[in-house]
Formats: sequence, structure tokens, C-alpha cells
Amino acid sequence: MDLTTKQTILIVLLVSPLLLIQGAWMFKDAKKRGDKYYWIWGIFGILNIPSNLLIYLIVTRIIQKEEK
Amino acid sequence: MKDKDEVRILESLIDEFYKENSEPLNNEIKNNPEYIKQKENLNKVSKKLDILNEDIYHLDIDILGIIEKGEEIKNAKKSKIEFALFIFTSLIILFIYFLMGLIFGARLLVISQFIFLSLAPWLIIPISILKRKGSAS
Repeated sequence: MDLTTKQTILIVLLVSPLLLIQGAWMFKDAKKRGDKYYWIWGIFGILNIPSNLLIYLIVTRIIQKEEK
Repeated sequence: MKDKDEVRILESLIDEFYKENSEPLNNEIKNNPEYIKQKENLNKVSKKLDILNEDIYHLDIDILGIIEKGEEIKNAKKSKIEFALFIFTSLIILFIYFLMGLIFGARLLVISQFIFLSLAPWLIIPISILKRKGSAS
């Protein structure tokens, strides 16, 4: 699948705000929960949508909840 | 002589004000203009100083609350700056990532996303579980 430059730019403009919002939410949520790696979660959140968010929710809401 | 009279009048006035005079004042002193003037001044000062007789120790100041509020404001400001720094860093990372996509083609974006999608769950979730087991033991 070869995309033209115009199509690539369009995808970038559509996806970037979503990635930024996801990353920002994960950053704030991890900080609020007292996680010391909140910066890493934030950067992780801007790399992929929505699988990275799902991974974050599994780790924080299921795995870490069981730990507590 | 005049000075001695003034001193005598003032001493009499002070004795009378603090009710320490052993004998009543004579009319000559009482009708003296200097005596009347100084007596008025003394009464004015006394009225102004009456405010000190009021109880001012009933003030209820929550010092700990004020300190905690100050700490909250300081932390909120620090959080805002940190968040702004995170957004700036994210924009730079995204810019570099998409610039590389434009230079090397969309194929690079697709491959990198596939790597994130396939490797990230297999790395992060087991590490979290191991960490949980480690802290539990």
C-alpha cells in the first residue's frame, strides 16, 4: 500500500491530536495514581492508539489493582 | 518661676488622673488654663489607649491550613509547568516520527506501528506481573 505525500500528511494531521490527547491523559492519570514512571507512560501513549491505552489500562486497573 | 508652676501643675494633674493625690486640688490650680489644656490632652490620649483594654486574643487563625494551602498552590504551579514540558516533548517526538515517515515513506510508519502493536503487550504486561509478584513476596 503506497500512500502519496498528501495522503500521509492528511493521516498525520488526523492522528496527531488523538495521540497527543491519549498521551496527555495517560501522563496525568499515572501521575495522579502516584506512579513514578508517569513520564514513560505519557511518551508510551503518544506512540500508538488505541493499543497502548489498552495496555496501560490492563496494567494499572487490573494488574496493579490486584497488587494492592 | 513659671517653669516651677508648670511642673507643679503637671504633677498635680498626674496625681489627680491616677487618683494618687493625698489632698484635694486647690481652685487656683484647677482654674489654671495650662492645667485645663493638659487635662484635655490627657483625656484624649486615655481614650485612644482604651483600645488596648479590648481582648484581641480571641482571633482564630488556622496557621497549618494556610501553610497547606500555600504548598498546594506551589505544587499546582509546578504540575502545570511539568505538563507543558511534557506536551512540548511530545510534539517534538511526534514531529520527528512523522518527518521520518515523510522522508522514508509511509511504509516506515506502518512497520513501526506493527512492531509497537505486536511487541509492547508481550513486554509490558509480563514485566508488570513479575513486578507485582516480586513486591508480593
